[in-house]
Amino acid sequence: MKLILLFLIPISATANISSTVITNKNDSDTLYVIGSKEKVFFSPGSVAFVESVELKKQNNSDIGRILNKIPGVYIQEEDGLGLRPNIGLRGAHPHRSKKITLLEDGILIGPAPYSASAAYYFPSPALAHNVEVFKGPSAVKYGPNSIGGAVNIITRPIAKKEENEIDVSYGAIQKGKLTSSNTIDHVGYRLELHRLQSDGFKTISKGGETGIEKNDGLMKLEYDLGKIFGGIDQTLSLKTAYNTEKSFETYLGSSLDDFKRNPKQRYAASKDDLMKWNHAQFQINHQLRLNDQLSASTTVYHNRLKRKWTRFDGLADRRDLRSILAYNSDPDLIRLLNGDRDTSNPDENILIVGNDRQYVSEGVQTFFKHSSTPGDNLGNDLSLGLRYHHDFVKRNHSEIMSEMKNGSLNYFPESSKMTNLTHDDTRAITVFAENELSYNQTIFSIGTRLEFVKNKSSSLLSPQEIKENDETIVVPGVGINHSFNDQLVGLFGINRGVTLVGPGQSTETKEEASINYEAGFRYLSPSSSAELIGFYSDYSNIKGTCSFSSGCAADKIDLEFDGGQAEILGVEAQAAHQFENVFMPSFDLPFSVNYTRTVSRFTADSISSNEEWGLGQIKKGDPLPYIPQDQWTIKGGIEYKKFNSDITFSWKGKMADQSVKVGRKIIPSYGVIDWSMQYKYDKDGSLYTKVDNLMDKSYLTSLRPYGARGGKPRMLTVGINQRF
Amino acid sequence: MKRILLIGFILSISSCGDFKQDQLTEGPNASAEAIIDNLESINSGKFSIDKVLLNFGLNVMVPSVFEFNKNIVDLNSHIELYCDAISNYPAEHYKEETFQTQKSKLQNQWKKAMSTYHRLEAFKFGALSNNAEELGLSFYAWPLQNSCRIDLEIAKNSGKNDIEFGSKSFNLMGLGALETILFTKAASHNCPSVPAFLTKWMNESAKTRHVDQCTYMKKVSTSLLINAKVLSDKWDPKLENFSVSMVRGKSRAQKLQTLNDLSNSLFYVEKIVKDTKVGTPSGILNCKLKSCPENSEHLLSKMSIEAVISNLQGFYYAFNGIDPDTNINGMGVDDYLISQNHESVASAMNNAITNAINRFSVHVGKKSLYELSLEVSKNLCDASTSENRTIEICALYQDLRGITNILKNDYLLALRDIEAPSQSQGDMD
Repeated sequence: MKLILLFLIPISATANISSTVITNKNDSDTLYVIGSKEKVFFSPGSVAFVESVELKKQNNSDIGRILNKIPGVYIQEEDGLGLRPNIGLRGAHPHRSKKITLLEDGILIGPAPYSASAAYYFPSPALAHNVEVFKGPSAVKYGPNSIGGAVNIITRPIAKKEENEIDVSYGAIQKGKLTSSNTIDHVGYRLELHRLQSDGFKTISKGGETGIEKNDGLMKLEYDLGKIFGGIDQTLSLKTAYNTEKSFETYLGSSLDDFKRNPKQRYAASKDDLMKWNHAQFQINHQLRLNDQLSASTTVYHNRLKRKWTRFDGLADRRDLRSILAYNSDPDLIRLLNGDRDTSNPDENILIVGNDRQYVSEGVQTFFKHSSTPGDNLGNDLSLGLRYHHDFVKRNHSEIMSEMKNGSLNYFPESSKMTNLTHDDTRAITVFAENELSYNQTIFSIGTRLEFVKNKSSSLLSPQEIKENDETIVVPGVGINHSFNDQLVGLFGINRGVTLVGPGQSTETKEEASINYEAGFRYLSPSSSAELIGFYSDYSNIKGTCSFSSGCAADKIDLEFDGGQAEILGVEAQAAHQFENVFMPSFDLPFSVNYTRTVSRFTADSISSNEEWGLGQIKKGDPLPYIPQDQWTIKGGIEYKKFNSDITFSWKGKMADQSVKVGRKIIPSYGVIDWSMQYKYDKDGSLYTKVDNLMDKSYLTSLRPYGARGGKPRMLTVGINQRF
Repeated sequence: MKRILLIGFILSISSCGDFKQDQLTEGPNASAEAIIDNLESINSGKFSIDKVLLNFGLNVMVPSVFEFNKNIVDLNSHIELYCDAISNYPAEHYKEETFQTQKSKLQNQWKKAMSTYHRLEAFKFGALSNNAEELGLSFYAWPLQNSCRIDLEIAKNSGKNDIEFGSKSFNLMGLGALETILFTKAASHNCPSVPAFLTKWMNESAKTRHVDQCTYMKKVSTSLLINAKVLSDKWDPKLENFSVSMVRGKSRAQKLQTLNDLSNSLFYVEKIVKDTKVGTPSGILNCKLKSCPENSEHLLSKMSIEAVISNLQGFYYAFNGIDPDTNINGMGVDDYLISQNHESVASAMNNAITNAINRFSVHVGKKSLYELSLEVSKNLCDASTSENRTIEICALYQDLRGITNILKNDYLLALRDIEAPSQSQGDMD
């Protein structure tokens, strides 16, 4: 039935407009996963592209608010500020974005994408020039975990002529940006400094900080070797970045009753919670264009992340806090968490963990591309890629007991102990090949990715244990794009989706695997665009991974669970139209809408030991958690000469907190309105203001791991941007 | 045209029945108190003491006491049928073996009831253990059973329609008393010395003796019926529902104490099964001779091996929280161990139980513990182990020790909140 539906969708689809706006190609191909922006419309796969102009207008520090305008993308808010976004694509579980591939300038940017796919680090949206999202078959060539798709953040390119920019904003979130870029003779550079700070929006009843501080520094240098030495067109570039975060963030939410009374409340038990990390990045890229047909790009990369999260992790007797807080079943305990009473017995001691981790992700990747036109109306692009990648995560987790006393935590130093000392290490060789043949009005793409993965997990605490795994996977995919005319194309694709087995898993653990189908239409005219794509993912084995954020205990962290058969199907639709010169010349009204329906469910009975799905019996038809059935966004704007303003309404349908029926709570649906306005007082300067959550709507985003947490409240920002 | 296509698309979707998420609904609460109202949730979600207690009560104890009650009712019916047949049979044609077939059926029903109780006594908990095990002893008082006195009481009350017992006459009552009557060989008794009134009674006709025995059995059976109903009502979810009483309105400390009590009840496998049922007859404990076969359980019915197997099965059910009717493995003490990161202890315990059951099962229908204890040689017994089975009953003792060593050491160490019963502390085996 689903397959029939899949084929019905394109047949009955209306054409309105493509969301993906074609712009001039002026940046390096190698940074872009999609290949080039022009290819969006003609891409055989499902891709989306966010323009730099759009990013600048939104001026968002939360990637979630950027991506939720793209159909098929699910954002599970966590801290309300977008510090650690949870991104899911096409029904893949959003927790920690672990089922998608995260790229920055086409390079793996997750902390340790193979060894620990949970992305505790995410590139700052302030650095983004463009954002690309690709789903289903279009994600075939980018691993390791692209069963849902991939997101690529493109940082700003080096300017050809001097370009300096200062941007300062004030409000609930304060930001500062200083950039400088230029190309002098054969050498280009870009320098960027960003600062983001906020006092946060939550209040700890017994006092304590809830704010954040983020710093991003980026430097790019590019040498035009071709011009320096003459001969072959080639460039050598260096990119280095250093980022830090200090945030008083917690996993502890509140009881549902308390959340309804005051969604900004934070319990005193979390008052000492603090996340600190620093991230360093180093890349050298060499690009070679031998002729109009053959080009190559090679990048050596090294990313390093060190983080320590000191935070509340439950009570000494490990009682089920999620359930207690979700059902308000123990008011006396909630008084303890809020510091309204003292700890009365050792079972009530509060466990504080210090989860210290060090990640390294490094490697070298090279791409070759050969473009040819062997005949009339016949073109062929062959892409070959090779990547050697090494990453590791060193976990050094400890815990200490404390007691609540007069609203503060008194620590018991003698109770301090180490709980996890592991080192997971992965080396992977990835080979991909893709051939895109265009003949007349049809583009046929076939590609495959091979991954040869070797991982090792060493547990250094007693009993010491070393587990090693080898895995080889093949991820093929095909796609077709056929142009019916200049404005309307149809597309169809099939691919295999795989999520690798991580280090330290049992030999019986299976990889996550699915067969994904998609079909749809794109329409594009000078003022309108539309896209309608149906998809169906048939999971032979869906995988869940334990994480603290989903409520797992320390001894199960990163343990993988096989959930058996599942299916995810749905439809993604979007349309945009620019009403021009409506009341007067230059008075334009841009309008866009997108809608996603996703049905995600298990298709066989199983027993779940995975907190993420809930513990107990999963029955056929039970939903996958944190995937709304419906979500949509409507955006309208006004553009008049130097003035523009947008208003966006985003609605997300209700979601299941877990799959297992017993204990399942529903996260209610909610809608949020964001508004922004920009006034260009001259060609290089503008004033802007924006209000996120204009109606100050309180909404629940998560009940995991410990209690109710909400989204961002109304936040006003006023700023000025000046280029010089 | 576009509009038509759009409508067509929407219709194609909406006509597809399964293109929506049917199960986006809340489920029952898995938290502690709410489990009571949503029993489906007992064995779902995270471990909690409430779930262990409720599952033990509702899914282990309730089916066990219901089955026991049913078997006692059936046993009473068999006794009435048997006794009515005897009393109505013409005295002149009556012979010792006249109702042997009916007696065999009655014996089988007794064995069935006895086995059910042996499973139940492996976790004497709640009503069974209250008041110094008063109710439990009323069902079965071995090794306090006094077969000789039962013979004497029957002889003493010969010809009467009713017999009076003192309220604490456990050693004259219960299933043990029925075993004495049903399995003592025809025209014999169990007394080492024979008083005159017993000799006189032994010389009565077969029918007279059997009618007197029936009077006694009916008295015992009536008592069993009443007490089995009391036990059943205590746990019956529709009546007193003791399962829920263990958690409703109870503080964590109280529930922990109840869990301690449950845990303590499991030490029956050590105190009685290992030491008394096997240790004493084998001569290993409390026996001054090379062995003490006469101290074996079920000397008359010869079902001592089956009794131990039933005990071990009961222990297995209680430890794992298994419903004996459905074999569904729910929240049990093993889950408490697992929740405390001692899965290896739970696993080792189950392996030891399975091993012991298998070892005892080898002898079913072949030899009783009495017969095995006759084979004991002191030196060889000391050298016998689970692997070196020179003297089988001593090896069986070691098999049980495999369970009790875990129970007294790793188990107690693993569960810091569960205190050992006083008699087990300091025991160095």
